[in-house]
Amino acid sequence: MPTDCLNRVLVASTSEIAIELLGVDVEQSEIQCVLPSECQGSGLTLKIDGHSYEIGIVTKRDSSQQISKAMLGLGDDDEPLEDDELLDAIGELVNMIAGRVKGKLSDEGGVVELATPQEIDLETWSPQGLMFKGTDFEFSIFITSHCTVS
Amino acid sequence: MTILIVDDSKAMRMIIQRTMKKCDLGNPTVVEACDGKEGLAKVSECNPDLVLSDWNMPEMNGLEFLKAVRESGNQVTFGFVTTECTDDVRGTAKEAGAEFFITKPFTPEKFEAELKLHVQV
Repeated sequence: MPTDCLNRVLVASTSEIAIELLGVDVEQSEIQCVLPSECQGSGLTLKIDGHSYEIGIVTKRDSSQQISKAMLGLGDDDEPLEDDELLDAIGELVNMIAGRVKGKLSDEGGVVELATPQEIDLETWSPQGLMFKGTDFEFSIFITSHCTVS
Repeated sequence: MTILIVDDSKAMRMIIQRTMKKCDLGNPTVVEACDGKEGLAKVSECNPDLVLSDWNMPEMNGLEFLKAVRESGNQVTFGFVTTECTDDVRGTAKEAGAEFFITKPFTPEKFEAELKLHVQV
């Protein structure tokens, strides 16, 4: 699948899920070459017509707190979530985006399989693909779509 | 009423629980499991009235879990709460004995409407 086609579907899916789940608009912005410090991420493998793509979300920890609390309906006064809880929530977010991508690509005739989310090893990861920024909400999401042939 | 929630994401189990509290579902007892294997044990142990299960899970996925429940002769009302939303997946699930599908993310209104179609509150 051409990368621009996957990116188009990723942009649409990410925007839709951000509105439906978090109630925020996101806009695509320039990818940063250097990750901000204090990042963590979760991702999964999406197999499209036999090709594997890694889709992940990497955020700063404070952004993970904001996103996760919004997802769980928690307020600023609630206790901060632990790292494993943040990764779990971000994993669920990437899972929802990937699920929406699967639905859209399947409608176009693609054969798509989803794996379960895993923590991203940031030692070996560099941002590629797309970056999103919340407009009403302080966070950045990096989506990567590395492609490997299985 | 006892409801079993099976999902490998603790965050998702929390979201489902919070959503249920916003719905007019009485005061159900909620039991949780983190994959199909644990879910199967909880079905035997707690005899739930309703099972809400994820589709993609480690150890035993949602479809394997549903098949195992039905093979044991248990006809509990079974619904999937999942990001999987293709016709193929829905068809496979219905064939295996699932009653309904709720696609993530969902609103409390959608969640409540779907549950009330399948369980007596």
